Amino acid sequence: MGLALWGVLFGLAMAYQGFGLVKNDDRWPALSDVLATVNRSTPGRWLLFAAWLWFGWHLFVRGWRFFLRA
Amino acid sequence: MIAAGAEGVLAQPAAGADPQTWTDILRHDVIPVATAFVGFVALLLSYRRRQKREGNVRVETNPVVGASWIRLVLYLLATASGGYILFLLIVWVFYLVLGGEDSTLLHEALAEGSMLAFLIVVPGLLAIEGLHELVRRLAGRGRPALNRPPPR
Repeated sequence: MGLALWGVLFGLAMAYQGFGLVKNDDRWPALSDVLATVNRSTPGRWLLFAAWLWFGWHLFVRGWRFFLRA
Repeated sequence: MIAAGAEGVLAQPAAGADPQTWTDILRHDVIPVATAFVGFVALLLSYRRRQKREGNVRVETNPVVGASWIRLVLYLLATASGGYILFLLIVWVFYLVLGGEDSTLLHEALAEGSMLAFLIVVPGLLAIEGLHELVRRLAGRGRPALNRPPPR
């Protein structure tokens, strides 16, 4: 049930993203538009990079042993 | 069940995996998720503020389009450095202060995060840009104009 709910939420988010890209109207920004705007300021770039770095580190790198073994 | 030898109520076999009290839930679950949500809302408000200030915010201007390689390297290093410091702050606040993890995790984040940021991400992005420029030159298009938005 929980997985289905996640699927629905993700589907809705992707559907809105597609709508925002097609509509090309500032009243209906796609998430990529929001991120691109935030990326234009230095603090925004730092925050996005930090979030991206944390995500990659937490999921894939944390606790690495040389060479690539967990 | 708290692992044998764990200090007080902070250390757990895996942070947040075995909440004992409501404070554990608050520290490991509520605050991190709430912070992520607040951060996302801040992104949206930032977009809205810029939209009100500048009107059409969908004009794509990239500060490094057509810039020299030195400027691109400095741009990427500045972005990676600032982001890396914020990343360490995230680890310190959410893993050590709130999560009660061992300080060795901060050492891991220092080493692994810097490797990821400065040995993988920055060189990788430079390699991609190099490839992109090579393809452009082979196609005879040369370097793009500096900071000019694409025609609509």
